[in-house]
This record gives sequence, structure tokens and C-alpha cells, in this order.
Amino acid sequence: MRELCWSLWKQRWAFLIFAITVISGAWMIFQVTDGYSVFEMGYRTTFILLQLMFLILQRERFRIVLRKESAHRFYRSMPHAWEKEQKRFLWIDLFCVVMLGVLLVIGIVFRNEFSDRLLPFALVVFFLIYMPGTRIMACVPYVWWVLEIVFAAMFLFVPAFDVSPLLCGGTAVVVGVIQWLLYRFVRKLWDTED
Amino acid sequence: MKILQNSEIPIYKQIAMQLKEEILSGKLTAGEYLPSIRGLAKDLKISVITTMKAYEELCAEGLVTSVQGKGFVVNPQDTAMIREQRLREVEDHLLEALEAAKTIGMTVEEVRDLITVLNHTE
Amino acid sequence: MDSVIVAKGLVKKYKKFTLGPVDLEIPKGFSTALIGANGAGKTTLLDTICGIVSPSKGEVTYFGEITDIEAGETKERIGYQAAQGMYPMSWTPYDVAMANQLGFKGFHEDRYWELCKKYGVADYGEKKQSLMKMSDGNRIRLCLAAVFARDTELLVLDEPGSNLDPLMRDRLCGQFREYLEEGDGEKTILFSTHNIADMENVTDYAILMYDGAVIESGFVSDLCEKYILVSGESATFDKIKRSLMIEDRNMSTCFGFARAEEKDKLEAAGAVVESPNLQQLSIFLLRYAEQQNS
Repeated sequence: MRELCWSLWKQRWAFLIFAITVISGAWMIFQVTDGYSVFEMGYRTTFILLQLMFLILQRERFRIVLRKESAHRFYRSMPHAWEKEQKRFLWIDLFCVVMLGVLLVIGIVFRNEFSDRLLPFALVVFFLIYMPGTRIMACVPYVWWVLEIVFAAMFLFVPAFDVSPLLCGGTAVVVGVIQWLLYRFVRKLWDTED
Repeated sequence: MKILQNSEIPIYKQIAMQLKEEILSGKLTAGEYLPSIRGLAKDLKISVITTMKAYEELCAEGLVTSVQGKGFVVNPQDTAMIREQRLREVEDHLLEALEAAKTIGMTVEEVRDLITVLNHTE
Repeated sequence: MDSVIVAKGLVKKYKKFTLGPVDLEIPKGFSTALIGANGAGKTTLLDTICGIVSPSKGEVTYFGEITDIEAGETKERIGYQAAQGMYPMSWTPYDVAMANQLGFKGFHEDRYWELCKKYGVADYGEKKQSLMKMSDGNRIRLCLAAVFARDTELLVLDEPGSNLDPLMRDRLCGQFREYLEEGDGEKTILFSTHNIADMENVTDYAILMYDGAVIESGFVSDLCEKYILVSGESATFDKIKRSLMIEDRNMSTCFGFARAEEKDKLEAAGAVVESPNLQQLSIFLLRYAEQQNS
């Protein structure tokens, strides 16, 4: 717990930059789709801020575990480094599952046109990024950021792109299962290529 | 201990010789422990294996014994054996002196006189 | 020989380089030097032994009984120090202390700051400067302060002396000897170097590597008795060619390197022989390995 808090504190500047970027993006979204109640605006803002936090956590774990950066030698020389890593991922993933679950429930209960678009997007993002197997995705820098932006644009700004939530969710589940299988081989990712 | 860093004589030999001298002369008594190999290595700024080799040589000559977990202990020295060793040394040196004397044509008498003179000068 | 690490058939495959198979033993209570050129595989070997990367094949036994480095508190007992990139460049000396405090149980922060002062890097701590702003030499000093501030039974240091000036290197050797004395036979040091001359007087056991393989290993005193340096005239060398492993001929004199059992034959032929020191031994054995490989 101390470690996680400490490494989040190390990321504080990244937090700030992301916050500015994402909040201004959110503001743009609200400008396009106006006429929503305070609650709905709050809902959207919360979702986006959570995205921000997940991005930071993901980036943090990505940075410490997988990037060919100096930190990994010190980190891997610590006792129980692998177990700590697994626990940390589990904590992050559990948190993501719970928060997105809460958002999904709210979205289903208080449905509107915007939440209909947002929900499939949330499912896809969830499976692509936050399932344990996503170490593989995190290996390739920034791919998932691009994907997230693309999906966001697709669902939020292209009215014609009206994909059924079922198809979307179904694809996400399949992708998630594949990544779960890959997770079982993730131990190999501890070895650095020279 | 006086160690010469750049001498022809390897350091482990210098250590062994000096310790041998101290043991035979009685400065180090029977039952006394030699400094630990790592402590000595630290003080002399050399590798542990060097001090170990010096001690092993002393062991081989019967001057010390290695005690598991405690170090190297000085053996009680057999005075008769020491005397015999020293006698052998005197013999060797005298033989050398006689050889050298022969080359310049000194007689045994002259050598004996020289010994007496040297002894009085001491 | 009591060994703190025993490796059997250790192999590590990378895309462009393969280490091993390697069999080695690190004797307990002594200082072992891993000697080899850059690219010989020293860092790979140390990384594999310390669990920084997992071996492709083979097994390693630690402290006599443990076979899995991830098990229990084994890594707590090992003080690993990388040649470079041990900590992120953005960290300050304070961050290094915090991280070690979090990651290891036996880290003594007061000892760390004392050593920083002793090694002359305490200023960086006070000014809160990042590792990026420090020279290579100062960075290594800081990292060494951190690893010596921990309670360990085995120190594994990758090129600790390579970026240090002679004075600091001398201090480091003194630190090594203190560590071994403290342990009184229970603490061990394993370090790698591509320049053994600097660390010769703190080396008890040597392991020589060439192109991913161990070509020779043993206590320094034994190795220096196993081989001899030969010197003589050209005519003599014509006679003894076959007994030599390496020969260097020039106008003034001829030098050679041979196994000690050839001593009598070589002296009979009129050459003079002597025991090599570790530096000479390393050079000749590495040259011999190179020769065999070409």
C-alpha cells in the first residue's frame, strides 16, 4: 500500500497534465451535447476522471514493470517482486472492475442517448485495457491510448456509427478471454531482451 | 609486522617468515591465536587468500594448527626441534663461509680467528 | 569448499547472444572476481544468478539449500548492484533511500547517509539533485552506498570499480575487506570487472569468461601455480613451440605462456619461467580462448 501510494506520488506531474488534457476534452464533449442535467454532467465528468486515474495507474504499472527503463533492475532485485507485482495488478484490476460496474449500473438505471453510446465504449475499454492479460498491450507503448481515443471518437462523435451494445460487448469478451489465456504465459515477460 | 609492498619476496612469504620468527623466538606463545585471516587481510590491504596461504604454510611447517570456527592457534614449540633447526642453519651458514674462504685461500685457522674477532666485536 | 552459490548447466538465451552452459561455484567467505571482456556475458550471468532474469535452462542453488531465488527471503540476503540503470534517472538520493526502505527489511538509512558522506556524494542528497545530474562515477558511489547500507550475506556487484577514480576504488577495496571481516567467513562478495589489475589485491577466487562460457576458475593462488610465464631467445622458442599456449615474438625477446607441468621441459631448453600474477594470467587465458575460437 505504501509502495503504491509512493509511486502514485511520484507520478503527480503526470496526473496534472492528464487532468488538464482530459478535463478540457470533456468540456468539449459537453459543448457538443448540451441540455443535460447536472447529474448527467456529473456522471460524465466522473467517468472521464476515472479514465484519467486508470490511465495513470496503468502507466505506472507499465512503467515500473515492463519498460526497458532503469527501475526494473532495482525492482526485480527485491524479494517477492513477482508476487508484489501480481498483487498490485489484481488491486488495480479489482478497482477498475468495481468502478466500471458502478458506472454500468448507473448507466442502465438512468438511460439516455449518451449513456447508450458510452456503455459499449466502456466495456470495450475495460476489456482491452484492464484485464490482467493487458501486459501484452502495455508492451507496445501508447497503442492503447490511441485505441481509446479512436473508440471515444467513434462512439461519441459519429452518429451513424450505431453499433449494437451486444456486438460490442461480445467482441470485448472474446478479446478479454484471449488475453486471460495469454496472462498465463506472462511470466516470460520478466525477461529483458538485450 | 613489516611488509614491503614491492619486494621480490611474495607478500604471503613475508608474512609467513615474520610470524615464524615471532613464534620461534617466543613472542607468540603456545595457545595464542593468530589474527583472523580476514582481519589481517584488511589491515595489510591484501586479499584474504594471501593471508590464508601464509597461514597454511605455517600449518604445514607445524608451527600453527587450524581450529574449526576459531582460527589458527600457535603450537607449543619443541625446544629440541628448534635447537636442531637452528643448528642446521648455523651449519649451512658456516659451510657457505668456508666455501667463500677457500676461494680467497684462507686457512681454517684464519677463519676460526675471524670468528673470535667478530664475536668480541658483538 | 563451502559454496554460497552452485550453478549447474546454466543457460540464458537472448536473440543475439547465448550464455552457457555454465557450471560454477562461488566459495563462501571470499571475494570472487568475474573477469572477461565487454560482451563476454558477465552481466547476463549475474542477472541470471540474482533472479533479475530467469534462466532458459539449468539450476542454481543458493546458500547450500535454496533452489528457487524467488522463494522466501532469499533476495533479502543478496545485495545486487547493476552496472548501470539500477534506479530511474529521475530519482534523487532521497528516493533511493525510500525505495530501499520499502523494498528491503535490512536497510539502514543512517548507514546509507554516512556512506554517502564517506563517498563524497552527500551534497547531491542535500541539494535534492536527481541521478541524471550526477556523473557516472558519482552515481555508482551512491548505488554502492545503498547496497552497503543493507544487511546482506552475499554482495553481487556488476562492474563496481569501472567508473571510479583510483582513490575511490581503493576505498571500495577497503569496504570489501571490512565486509568480509564482519562476516568472518559467512559473508561473500561476487563482482565483475573487465579490468582485473584494479581489483587484484581484493580477489581471492577468479572466474574467467569468454564469449558466454567460463574458460577457467579457481582460487587465485592455485591458478597462479597452474600456469607459467616463459621468456627466452628466439632459438629457444623454436625448440619449445609445442609446449606453449601463447607466444609473443619480437626483436629483443620472446614471451610465452604455458601450463606449469611444462616447466622442466622449458627450463631444460634454456628458457626462464616464473609464476604469473592474476592480471597476466587473465590476459593470456583470454587470448588463448580467442585463439582457440578463431
